Amino acid sequence: MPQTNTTTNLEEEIRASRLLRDDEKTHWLTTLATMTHDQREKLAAILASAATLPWNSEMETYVKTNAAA
Amino acid sequence: MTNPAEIPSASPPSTPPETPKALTLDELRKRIDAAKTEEEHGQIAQEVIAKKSEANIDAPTLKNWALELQKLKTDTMQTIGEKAENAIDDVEHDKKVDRDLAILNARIQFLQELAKKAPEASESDIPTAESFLERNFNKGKDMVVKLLTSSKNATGVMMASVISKLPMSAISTFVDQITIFIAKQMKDVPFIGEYAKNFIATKEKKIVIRDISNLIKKANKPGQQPKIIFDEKVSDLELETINPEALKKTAAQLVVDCQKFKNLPEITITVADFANPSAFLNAKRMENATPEEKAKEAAIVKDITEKSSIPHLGSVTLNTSNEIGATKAADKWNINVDASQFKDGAAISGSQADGLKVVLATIKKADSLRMIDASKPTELAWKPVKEMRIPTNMTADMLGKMDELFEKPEIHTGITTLRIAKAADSPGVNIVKLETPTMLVADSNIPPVAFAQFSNTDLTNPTKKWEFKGGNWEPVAASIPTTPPAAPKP
Repeated sequence: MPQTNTTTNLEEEIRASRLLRDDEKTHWLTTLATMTHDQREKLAAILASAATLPWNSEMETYVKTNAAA
Repeated sequence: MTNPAEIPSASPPSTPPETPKALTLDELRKRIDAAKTEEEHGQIAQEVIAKKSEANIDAPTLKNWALELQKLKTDTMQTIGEKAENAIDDVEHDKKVDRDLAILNARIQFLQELAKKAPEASESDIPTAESFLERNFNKGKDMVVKLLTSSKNATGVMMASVISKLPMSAISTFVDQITIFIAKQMKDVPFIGEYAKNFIATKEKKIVIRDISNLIKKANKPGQQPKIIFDEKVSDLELETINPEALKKTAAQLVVDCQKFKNLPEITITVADFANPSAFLNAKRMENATPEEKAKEAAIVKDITEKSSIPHLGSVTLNTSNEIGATKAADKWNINVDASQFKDGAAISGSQADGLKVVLATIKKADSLRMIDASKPTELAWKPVKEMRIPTNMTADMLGKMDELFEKPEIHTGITTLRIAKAADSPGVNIVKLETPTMLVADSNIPPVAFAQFSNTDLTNPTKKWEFKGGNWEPVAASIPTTPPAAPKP
């Protein structure tokens, strides 16, 4: 089903994203089921943007240590 | 009121409302009472939930529905009530998800900034979050505060504290100046305890003190003087009060120990309240004053307080030593930059002037500016003032710089009074000893050439008052109205 596939893809994107810390990944994976379609799309867009960033150690450090939970 | 249970159903229970509208409790009760089966009750419950969405019912209203439904005390009603409660949870849940997404979105924006600067980034050139803040201030202060608060970073939390206290009007004013450390910078700038929240450190080189009033309150306690030792990397100091009202009411002293500054002298910032002479005299700065000095100070304060009809905001004295600075101020705000205390007693150096400029430039309420070092007029007199005090020992070179200054109309158009102070005999510039200023009164159209003209004017009479009329300075008998004025110039 398309919805299932979308959800599955989003789950994979969450797990693979460098934008999120581990605890945040858990949070979003848990929340995913109760999110609206718009919210899922917004999250997907954010993760997609993050995937295109030229990541460096400074950015990684920011996410790990300073970014908002 | 008729018992809702006795009212027959007015329409089939399965008929949905044609247009979204607020659902009253009475209506809801009627529908429920009219329903015959559990299925019908369930359908009503669904309608209630749907109605919530269609009519954009807020959570408190929905909760009232739920509470009313539960009072009916039937299993079905209980179920409906629970569903309504769940709907409330849904609303809250949606809000939380939206909020989390907004925060995540802010993070990606900041990371995009980091990414832009990443290629050139080095240990000493760590990107700040300035642009990030600028953007997000437009989106919402609360979000920024939340983001920073939850950053688990001392600087972020500090920033949140500062920002949360600022009115939006202040933020819009200061946003171009607010730069912060998000990550590493703060590690190199040790702040002392509770004062930390009043400071914003930028780029390892600048300390910005936003809310002086809090420090003043601290300093007002006997024996407690805020003394902040900054890291030696800091080379600029910027002071700015966001609460002039606090300054108006508080007399105290704030001392910033800049001994470790490489490019700044030690700076003492004294804030006193002319409206409260006793507090003024109790300020730390007067501790070492002689009785004569205190008496003189009190007389000045008293005179100013009594004579002026303009509410006095106070006096700010910037003194480059720990000694008492120039306090001959006679206006609601005076900024005295005493260059005489620099170690060589000569004109302040470029770096010192820059530092002082930064300090002065941030004090928004200055209406008068006393130019101690006329060799740096363009650096010190950068902002519009109503009154300008200029020592008379200006050389031709200095006058040339004054011309440069007055090439900027935005600086001099507000000036209505010039006070040319008779210079002391001591070498260098020493405004402290200047006690008999000559007042020049001019309108806002005063041309640069006026300075040169006046430098050639006889200053032997220290009480003389001059008015700039028709392109010339005309002496005016300031204190004796009956004295005939000097012969008018063509």
